[in-house]
Formats: sequence, C-alpha cells, structure tokens
Amino acid sequence: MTSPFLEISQLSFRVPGNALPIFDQLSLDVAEREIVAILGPSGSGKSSLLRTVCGLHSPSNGSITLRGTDITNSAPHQRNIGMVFQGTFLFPHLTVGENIAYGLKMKQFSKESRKQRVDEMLNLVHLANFSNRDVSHLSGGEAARVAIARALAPSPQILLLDEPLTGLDEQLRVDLAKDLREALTASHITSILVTHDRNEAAIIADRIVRFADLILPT
Amino acid sequence: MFVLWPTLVVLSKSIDRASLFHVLSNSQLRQMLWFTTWQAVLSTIGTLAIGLPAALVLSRYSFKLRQMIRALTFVPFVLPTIVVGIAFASLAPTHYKSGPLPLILAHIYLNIAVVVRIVGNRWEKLPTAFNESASLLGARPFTNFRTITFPLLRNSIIGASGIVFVFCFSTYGAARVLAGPRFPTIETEIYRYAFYIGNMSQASALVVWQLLVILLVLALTYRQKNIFLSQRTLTPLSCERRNKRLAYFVCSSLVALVTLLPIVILFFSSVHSTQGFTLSHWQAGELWTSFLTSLSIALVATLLALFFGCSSAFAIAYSTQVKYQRMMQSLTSLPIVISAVALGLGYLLAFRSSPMNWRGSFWLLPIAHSAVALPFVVRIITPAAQEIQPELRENALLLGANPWKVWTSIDLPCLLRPIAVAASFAFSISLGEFGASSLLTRNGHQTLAMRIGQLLSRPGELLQKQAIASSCLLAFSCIAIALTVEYAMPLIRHKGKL
Amino acid sequence: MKKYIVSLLCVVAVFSGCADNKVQATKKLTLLAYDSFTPTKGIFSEFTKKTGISVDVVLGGDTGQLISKAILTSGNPEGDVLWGVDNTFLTRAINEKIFAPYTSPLTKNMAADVIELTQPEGAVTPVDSGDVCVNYDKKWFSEHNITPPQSLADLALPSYKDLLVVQNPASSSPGLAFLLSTISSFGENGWQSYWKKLRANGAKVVDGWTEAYTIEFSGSSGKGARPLVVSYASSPPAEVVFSDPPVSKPPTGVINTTCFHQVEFAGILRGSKNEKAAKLLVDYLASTTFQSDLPLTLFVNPVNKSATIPDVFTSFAARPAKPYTMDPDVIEKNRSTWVDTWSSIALR
Repeated sequence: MTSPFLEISQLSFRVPGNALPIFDQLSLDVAEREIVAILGPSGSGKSSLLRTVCGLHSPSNGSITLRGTDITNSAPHQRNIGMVFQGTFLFPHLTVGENIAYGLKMKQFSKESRKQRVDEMLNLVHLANFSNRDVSHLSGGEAARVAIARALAPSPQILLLDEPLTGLDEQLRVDLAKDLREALTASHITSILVTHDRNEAAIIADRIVRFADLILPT
Repeated sequence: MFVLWPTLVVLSKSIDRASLFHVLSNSQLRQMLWFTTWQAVLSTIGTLAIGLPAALVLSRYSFKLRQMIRALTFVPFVLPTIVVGIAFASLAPTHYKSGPLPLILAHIYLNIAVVVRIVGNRWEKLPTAFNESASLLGARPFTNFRTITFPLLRNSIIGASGIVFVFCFSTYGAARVLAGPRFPTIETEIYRYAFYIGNMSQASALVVWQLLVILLVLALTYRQKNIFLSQRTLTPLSCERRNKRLAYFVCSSLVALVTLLPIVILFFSSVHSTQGFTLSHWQAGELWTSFLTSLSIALVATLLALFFGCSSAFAIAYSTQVKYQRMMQSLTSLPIVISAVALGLGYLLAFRSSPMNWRGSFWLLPIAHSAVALPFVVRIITPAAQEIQPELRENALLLGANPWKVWTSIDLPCLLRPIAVAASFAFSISLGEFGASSLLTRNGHQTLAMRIGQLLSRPGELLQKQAIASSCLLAFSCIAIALTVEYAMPLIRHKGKL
Repeated sequence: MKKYIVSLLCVVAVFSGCADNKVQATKKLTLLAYDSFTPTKGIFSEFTKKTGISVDVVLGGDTGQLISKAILTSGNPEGDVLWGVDNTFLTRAINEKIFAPYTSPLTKNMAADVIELTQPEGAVTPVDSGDVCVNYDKKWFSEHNITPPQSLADLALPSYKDLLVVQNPASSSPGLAFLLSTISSFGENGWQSYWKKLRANGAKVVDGWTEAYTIEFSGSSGKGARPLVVSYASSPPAEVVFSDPPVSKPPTGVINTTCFHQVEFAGILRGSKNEKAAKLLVDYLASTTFQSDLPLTLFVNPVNKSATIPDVFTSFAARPAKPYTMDPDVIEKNRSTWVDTWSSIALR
C-alpha cells in the first residue's frame, strides 16, 4: 500500500503555558492533486492546524509526513509549502510583480525566468499587466488574487489557504471562488482550504471534511 | 518661541564671518570636528547593533518582566550624563577609563532607549504574517530580516539613527568625563571658548557649524511618509521553541543587566560604608527637599511641554499643507539641535528686560526643561494623531457632536496612551536635566540633578556618597515613572472600551 | 496657528502678572555666586535684621560661567553683588567693566598682599583666599614605602611615574592655577620643558576637578589609581569634616611647595539699582561674622584677620609658607597664549 501524499497523524497542538490544547489527536490524509476543504466555525482551531502543517507552530504531539518524508520538525522555509493568509498580507513595500517574484528569488530563479513566471501567474489569476502596480492601490479581490499568485509562483508541493476570501462581498466571493478552483486545477496542486463557508467549499474543493470529524473521539 | 528667539539673540550678538571660517582653517578645530563626527558615527552604529535586537525582543515577544525591562532601558537616557560617566569610569579597568572607547560605550548605553522606543514602537505594529509569508516562500531568517523586516522598519531605523547621531554629536557631560581633554568634542569646545577663553564669536561660530551639521543630518534622516502597518499594537507573541525562548531570555536579561549594573553599583556604594550597611546618605535633609523641588519643577515642565507639544502636534497632524507641516516639525525639533550653551546664554540675554525680566526667577527652569522635552513630546504625539482616521471624526460630526465633543470623544481617547508616554518622557527629562539649567542663574531652589553636580564638585567622601545616593534616587524615580506608564496604560485603554 | 499665538500670549500675560505682583515691601538684594557657594543656611538673617535688607542668593554655574555671563550682561546685571571672581579672572572682569568700583573699608583688617591685588582700581573687595596644591594619598605612599614628592621638580622624577593627575587649564580653575604655579616656578623659558617631562612621566590630564579628584585620585571616594592630584590646600580638612565613616585625621596631605595662591573677590555689579544697599552687603561679606563661617563651609581662608578659624581647619589645612602668586594683569595678558602652548605640549 502506498502512503498518502500528505499524512497528518495524531497531531496535537497547544499554546505553551496553556493547559487545554487547541486541537488534539488530529489525523488527515490528502492525496496528490486533491483539493480538500476543512469546514468549521471560526475559532475552532482550523487556522492553527494550517500553521502547524506549514511549520509556523510546532506540534506538541504527532507527525506530519509529506511524500513519505517526515517534516514534523523542519523549519518553515525548508518545507516548500505555500500558504495564503486570511487578510492576504502582501508585502507593502513591494509592487505586485515583486511580491509574486519574492519566492522565486529565494529559490534562485534567474531574472529572465522570474519575469516569465510572474507574467504566467498574473495571467492565471486574471491580472495581466498588474505587475508594476503598488499593492496599496489594489481592491480586496485583486489583493486576494495576488496573494494566491504569490503563493503559487514557486510551485510549492502543497498549498494551504486560510479563509482566503473572507471579508469580500458575496457576489465577488462566488466569482473569485470559481477562478480560484480554476487556478488550482490548472496548476495541478495539492491544496487544503480552511473556511467556514459551505458554499465556497463546495465550489473550490474536491472533498469537504468537517474539522470536528478529524479529531479522534475520546 | 522659547527656543528660537534666545538662540537668535545670542548668535546675532556675537557672530562674525572670520571666526566661522577659522573653524575650517584651524587644524586643531578641524581635528576636533573630525573626532566628534567619527565617534558619533561609531556610537550610532553600536547603538543600532545592540538596540535593534533589544527592540525586537522587547516589542515582539511576551515574557515575564517584559514591561519592566522595557521601562528599565529608559533610565540611562534620562540620568544626568555626569552620573553615567562616573558610573562608567568606576566600572572600567584602569587603562580604559578615558579615551574614545569608553565614550562610545557610554553613548551606546545612553541611547539604546531611543532605538528601543522609536523602532520598537513600529515593530510592535508589524504583523507577523509578513515574516511568516516570506518564510513560507523560502526566506531564511536573515534574508527574511533583510528583505521584509528591515525595509518596513527602515524609516524608523533611519529616524532613530539620526537622533542618536545628533545626541552623540553634541555630547558634553560624557565627553568631559570619559573622553578627556585629549579628545575635545564640539560641545566641550563651545563651552571652553564661551566660558574659559571668553571668545564668544568663536563659540558662536562653532554653534553655527554644529547647527548646520545637525540640521543636515536631521533633514537627511527625516521621513515624512511611513507605510501604514496597523492601527493597533499587536499582541506580543509567546515563544514556542525552547531554544528560541532561551535565547530571548538571555538577550533580555542581558539588556536588564547592562542597564541596571551601573545603578546597582551606585546603590550599593550609597548604602555601604566601611562600617557596613548605612542609610545615612539617604537621610540628608537636603536630599528630600531637592527631590521635592525637582518633582514640582518636573510637574510644571511636563504640563508646559504637554501643552505646547500637543498644540504643535495637532497643528502638524491636522494641517493639510505639507510645507507648513515640515516647518512646524523642524521648528519643534530645534531644542535637540541647539547646544545647551547657546540655549542657556540665549535665555540670559532674551529674558533680561521688562516685561520679561525673568532672570533668576523660578519659572525659567520649568520653561527651559519643557523646551528641552518639547521635541520628544511632539515626536511621540504627532504620528499617533496622524493615525486617527478622519472618517471617525466625520462620523462623530454627523452623529451630532460639536467639534469639542468630537475631540474629547474621538481624539483624546485614542491619544491617551501617547500623551501618557510623552508625559513620562517630559517628566523624566526634567528630573535629569542638567546641561541647560546649570547655565541658568537660579535662586536657592536646587533640583536633584544640580545638587548632584554641586556635591561632586567638593572634596569629602561624605559628599560624594550623598551625590551617589541622589543619583540613585533620580534613577529610581525614572524607573518608577516608566513602570507606571507601562503598567497603568492597559488599564486606561480598558476603561476606554467601556 | 492663531490659537497657538493666543495661548502663548496668555502664558506671557500670566508670567508678567507674576512679576508685577511682587510687591517690594522690604529692600531686596540679589547675590550672584558660583554653584559651590554653600555658606551656612540663614547666615544672612543677621544682615537682614541689622539693615532690613533681605538677600536672595542665586547660583550661576562655575566661576568661568559666572564671569562670562556677567560680561554678556554688563550694565544690566543679573544681580547686585557678585561673589567669586578670582585673581586669574580679575583683570578680565575689570577690563570688561562689569563692576561698579567699591572696596570695603574692612580691607584695613586684611593682609597687605591681599589688598595689593585690588589696587590701583579699587574695583572689588577681597573676600577669601586659598591655595591650589598637589595633594597626596597618605596611605598609598606609606603602603608603597615611597616618600611623597617634595617639590614641583620631584613630580617629574621616575619614582613618581604615572602617579599624578592634573586638570586641563583650559576648562578648570585649579588646572589653570597649577599651570601658573609651574610658570612662576620655572619661568617663562623653563616651564615648557618641565611640562614635557611631566607628560613623559605619565601625568594624566582630565577636564575638571570632579573627574580628577573623585574618579582618578586614590585618596578619596573614587578609589582611583593615582595617589597625586591637583586640589586645594584645604581639601584635607574637608576630608575630615565630610568623612564617612568619621575619621580624626585626613587621609590626604598637601605638598606645600607646589601651591598657587588664589584670592577671591566680591564686587558690586555695574547697573545695580541698589548700589547703596549693595555696599552694605559687600561689607557684610568681609565682616568677621561672615568670614568666620567660610573655613568649614567653603573651605577657604578668611581674609579678615579678626575672623575665628576652627581647630579642625587650622590643624589640617595646609598653610604654605611661600605659595606662588602672579599679578592678575600678567595672567590676563598671557593666559590664552600659555594655555594654547600648554595644550600643544601636554595634549597633542
């Protein structure tokens, strides 16, 4: 039996000094190129899960295996996992193009290939010609698109999306969700989406799980 | 007005062109300018090297005593430099008691607070998600700092360096004690020309050169625009990884140790005599009378500084004309720029004829202190006032509040914290102010800082010990003020929410 | 901006109001003095009782600052009487016409050499005298089994290498006095080579008295490394009076052959509106009552011969038999050249 693409097993996380864990004994398998949506009310610990997977939190227990390699204890910048934060957090001192190229620079892409990849990504999120824009002048929807492009650009092994569309208005969310689904499938990327919106999850994901179901009943 | 006018008076009385150029043609003066400059540059670099990590730890991570340690970093800044100089000299090994190195170390010690406050304030508002995003995109910790943190903090770092440079450039007390006569700095030379050689025009020429350099540096390091980060101060993080936690613990205890060491040493020598423990130096009656004098002067000075500081800050923040803003900004930063000697002499000449013959009057001290504190008050309150979004005010207006109501219900609550911080700064500066006030003629009422100077200028171990006790009292008061602000502020904000 | 100006005007109005409200019921004099002017509290109440004039003592920095400020405000002074100009600054003060000439009749009670300094102008009244001498740390010399130096020349001997700390004459009054000592001793042509030897012998120069005595000197609170320091002949009794814990003998001694004699003067500032009353105050400063207070408060010698001097002062303060002196005019004429030459020898 081949092991799954991403295997989260018996994962627990607690804030140091707090007695109660944020989540305990959580397990989830994700197949290659699968888009999984994790659904749950806000404050249930979904974001903490994503942050643990990408290495921003270290788990108190359990393991994370990516393509058969245990990454539980490696540093975030070595994991090659992309993430789109709630609130986008585009680097305010860089232009749209520079934001997208940031990850490519870190991976020592040549200047030529960076430029090409940035254009490719902008086309993918329907923002061609935005490369030289100042990020402070973007609308909420545009910012979300750039954030997705920035995370996808260095071709991470897996993309984590933390409520990427929260805060945008209803109609825009539906459009964006469709475009996001399109971009993710076009890039053939394994993704985990965290959201509290069932509709959004249904449009984007191949599979929907409830956060509460991931936790081993005690 | 309390700054510009006196200075103009003193300069216009004594300046002439020949002495202006004499500064450049005389090799000794040129050497002095060069020394002043390079020691200030090295001091600034050193202060950044230590201040930035300190700012990181103290503004980003939560741990026990964080606020306490942050408050502590302010103590050196407000201690009279002569006290710091003596503490340093008593710590240093014999062969390093004087010269450029101890001077630079003392400057670093004195100015860490500037970096911690200015850079730390901005760092507190820098969302961690920027660094986290960069890290996930593959940036190693150092690259992360270089490409994300530094550019976002750059303006505050440059601004802080500018101020630190200016302080080190116009150093006086520390330079006299620690650099010694072999290494004169521009301020000690101004003092020497003005008071011992009696060559006022040469002294004024040096004041003008000092002014030019400082204005140039401030103009180069002043940044109008800051990238907006966040309205709120972010909750400090708790450290997750044990080795990281250890590193922060070590780092912050080092900061605390370094700040406290000279004070602790002073304190022990103040309660120690060859016969053991004694409190007698703390019981000298004049200690407490002068302490009370200091407190009352500081109170008046704080109120004055807040009044003028707030009015200038609002004038800057609410004005729409950039030109006017810039003018007010530079006007209010003049007291940092102008040498204490020039200020002191200016007061002497400016306030000597009716109806403003206030020389020797009790009022001149708090006025001079408030002038010295003014730039800090303005620099603390202005950015906060600028950050209040106009929509808030407009909303309140639409809801039927009159302008005064708007101000008290919107602006004031938002500004309570910066105003309190500014007040604590002004109060501490007034407590420790020695430079300008020693030049003012004043009657019987001695402040603590002046008493220290007077006690140190006479022989007798008892007097020296009393001076040390006074310095400790000064340091403790500053700590108390800083702590009050650090700990009382969350309470005020909480009340505001209700 | 308008608001700003209005508020400023209000403040000004309040202040001027304060000034006007001071009703001058009794006559009041302002005595200007240097920062370390610390006579017994209430010493002027006797004067007030006798004359009905109250005295407000205001402090204005060290002697150099005091004179410079008096020169800047010449004719419109900050006070009525100035205490503390010494013989090294006297001529400058007189040349700049800061004083309204007055010499108290009490000078008849003073030594001839002291009175001579005020002649021929008669601008000021001598009020105290003292000597700037090299002090030594008794304990250090007995522990190291070395005899303390006996003369200025001894200070340049190899056995006293790295032991002396002196002040910069460009910024310190005892520093200047010590330089004048060496100039009087070795003459216009000899003092430069003496200072070259002193420098080669490791004499350390610091900026002021406080740095030298409280940091570098081994015999006082600072416990520095150098057992020889330029200070005052009266420093030993001060070490006894202000000792901690109390001691009966001073830990320091004075090398009598190194001293420079300083005389301080009080004068009426030109432009004072109460010249008559000011004369009374100058007389009081030279009177037996006030002069008897000086030894243990300012640690200087009274100049009025009928003043009483406490035992602790007479037994521990050095009374050098032949201190060096110099005519104030000569000092004024040469001071800046000497200091410049000295700087190039001892500092560069």
